[in-house]
Amino acid sequence: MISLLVAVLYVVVGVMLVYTMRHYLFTLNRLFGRHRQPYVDIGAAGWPRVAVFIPCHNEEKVIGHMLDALLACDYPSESFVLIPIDDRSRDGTRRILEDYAARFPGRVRPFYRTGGTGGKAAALRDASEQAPGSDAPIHLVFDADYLPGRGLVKQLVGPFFDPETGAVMGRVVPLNVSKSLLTRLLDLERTGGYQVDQQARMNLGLIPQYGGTVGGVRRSALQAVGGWRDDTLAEDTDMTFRLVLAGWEVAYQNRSECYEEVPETWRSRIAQIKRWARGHNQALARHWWPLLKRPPHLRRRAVLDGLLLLGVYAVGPLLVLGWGVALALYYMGVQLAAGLAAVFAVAMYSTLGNFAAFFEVAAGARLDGSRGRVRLLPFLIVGFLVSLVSVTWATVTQLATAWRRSPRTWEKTTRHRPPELAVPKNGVGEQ
Amino acid sequence: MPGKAADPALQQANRLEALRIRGHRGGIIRPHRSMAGIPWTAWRFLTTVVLGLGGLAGYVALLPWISRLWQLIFERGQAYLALPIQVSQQQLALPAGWQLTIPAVTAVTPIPDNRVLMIAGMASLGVLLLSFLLPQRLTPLRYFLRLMVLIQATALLYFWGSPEPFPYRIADHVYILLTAGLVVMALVPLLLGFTLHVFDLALWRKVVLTVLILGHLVVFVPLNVLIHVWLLMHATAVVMPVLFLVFGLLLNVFIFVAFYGWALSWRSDLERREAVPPVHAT
Repeated sequence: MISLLVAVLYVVVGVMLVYTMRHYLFTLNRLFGRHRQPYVDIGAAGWPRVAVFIPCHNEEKVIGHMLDALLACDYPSESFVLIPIDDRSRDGTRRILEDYAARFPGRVRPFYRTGGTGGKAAALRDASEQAPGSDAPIHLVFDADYLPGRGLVKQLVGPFFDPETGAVMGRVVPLNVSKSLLTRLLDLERTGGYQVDQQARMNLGLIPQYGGTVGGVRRSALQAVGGWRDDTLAEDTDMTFRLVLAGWEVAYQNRSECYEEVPETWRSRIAQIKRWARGHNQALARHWWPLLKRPPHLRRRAVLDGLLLLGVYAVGPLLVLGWGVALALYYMGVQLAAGLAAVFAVAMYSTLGNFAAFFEVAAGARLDGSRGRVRLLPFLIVGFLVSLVSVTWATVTQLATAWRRSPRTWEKTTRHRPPELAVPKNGVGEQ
Repeated sequence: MPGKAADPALQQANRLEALRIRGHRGGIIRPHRSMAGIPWTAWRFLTTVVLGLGGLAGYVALLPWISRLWQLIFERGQAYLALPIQVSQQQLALPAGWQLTIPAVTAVTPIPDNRVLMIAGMASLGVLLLSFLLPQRLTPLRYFLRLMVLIQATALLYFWGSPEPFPYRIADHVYILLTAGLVVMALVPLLLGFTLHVFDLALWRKVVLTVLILGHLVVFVPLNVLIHVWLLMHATAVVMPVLFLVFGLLLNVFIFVAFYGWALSWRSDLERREAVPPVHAT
């Protein structure tokens, strides 16, 4: 029994160390490596037609700002159509969209859903197939609370000049950073995740993740992999792996920054991360085996990175399992920390292991040039505890109810933006 | 070749290269943050290696003094806190056949009786209740309190129902925490080597940070263990699991992260050298 528990514990520690090494590799690459930013900041080109999809469900607080910002973009207006998708909103979203459609005929073409499966994925599926203007070769997708800068659309379209690129993802930057400790912690997390993690994946030729909130897909690639699936909670992760498995490249553009509203309350944050965990786990269940079989176009390191990316939310429950086993061994009197070598192993994990994520975040913040916020680094531990519990709970309940096929519903993040918040006429987000 | 003038064309190219990034008032135009990186130079590599290994060597060289300091802290602490323990010494085997003397305590480990278990149970329930009463904005604290209650509940269950005697004495607890503290301190210079020294900070700042963290831990670790002993003597071994798992090694890591975050908020050497003095009104 004890041997089994010790073996389980060392397996958990081993998995954690693999993720640790990954964090260190990414961070060192981002700091000292050569950066890949294909076709960034192209000023003049034969710009293709673009359809921008904005799924909305009760977004009256933010959708106007989003449309204003997009309409202020410097993309040729004749090649650019905005398709806000109103999915059965019960607030004033529809009225706002009708107003914009009337004021900008041909440029804003709302798509209204009144039935069918609920959720963002289903909304995207219907609109990308049926909405007027959806025949554009490039489909961009934004969340309704995002605020793109003037040049963002061009930056996101640029990488599609490479015919192998199937999807592009930009960088997410929180807008409401100073609201609370939570928003500041989320700002740090996003910094580590995008400035370091995503860019390093791009540099190393791995699998940058198409995040679904500020990015786009090539329509032909979308059609080649069967369009958006409406039976998924994380259509972005699902799309990333379907494209990669089908031989398309996913590009990350660190220069393409777009502002978002991060959750301002812990309740909202917990709901968000639970949704992400369930969606990601779903993608793990669907794609780990096809990925492990390694299609010939994928390099081994990309496969390994893909598997680690898919398993990123499964690590939470695994860590909790490791803690449980460690506690049981403690009561059994198994002093793993008695011998110096064992102490060294435990300390290695406790410091070096857990520390890799802090290194990543700190490096990202310093590269951003905003070093003052790094002083909040220790507080990430408390955020980590909340995330760990939430992800574990989401995974356990997901496994327990896997046999039940419940209808998909909108599980959207609560918006906190005050309606009077003005958006600068020229858009926001330019540095 | 000494004495030979550089190629004029090369000189001009160098001047142009320097001008290309010359900015307002002689400053340097930096790349956008999305493209920024850190140049890897031989000097940086050298300082990273030297400071990392040198810090470790310095720590090892100071171990006998650290040992004496810890012994002193334990003896004074035992007297100050009036702890019913005997402080002695024990040998810790280090790699390469080295030995280090660290403090050892001899004490009767108080085992909780039913009354103590009842009180501990009520206190745990109180903390659990408190975690539900705290406002939503303190969610991390709520979760932390519940984690502590969960671990405490396992201890209560163990002491209440386990037929086996509790496998740890206060002496074991002290030994493990002191040993783990020593290992964490040994890792500090190495960890800083490739997570801090790679950044563009002045050399003296890197040295100062290493000294600050090690200095803090050298004092903190024995004092923390003494507080544990005091709590164990008063609250019995029923609190040992919580102390070990939550307030032991984890606190050392937390301290390290706090110092690290502080250091990375310091101005870079490049920023310091480039700083333009304020324009004085005339």
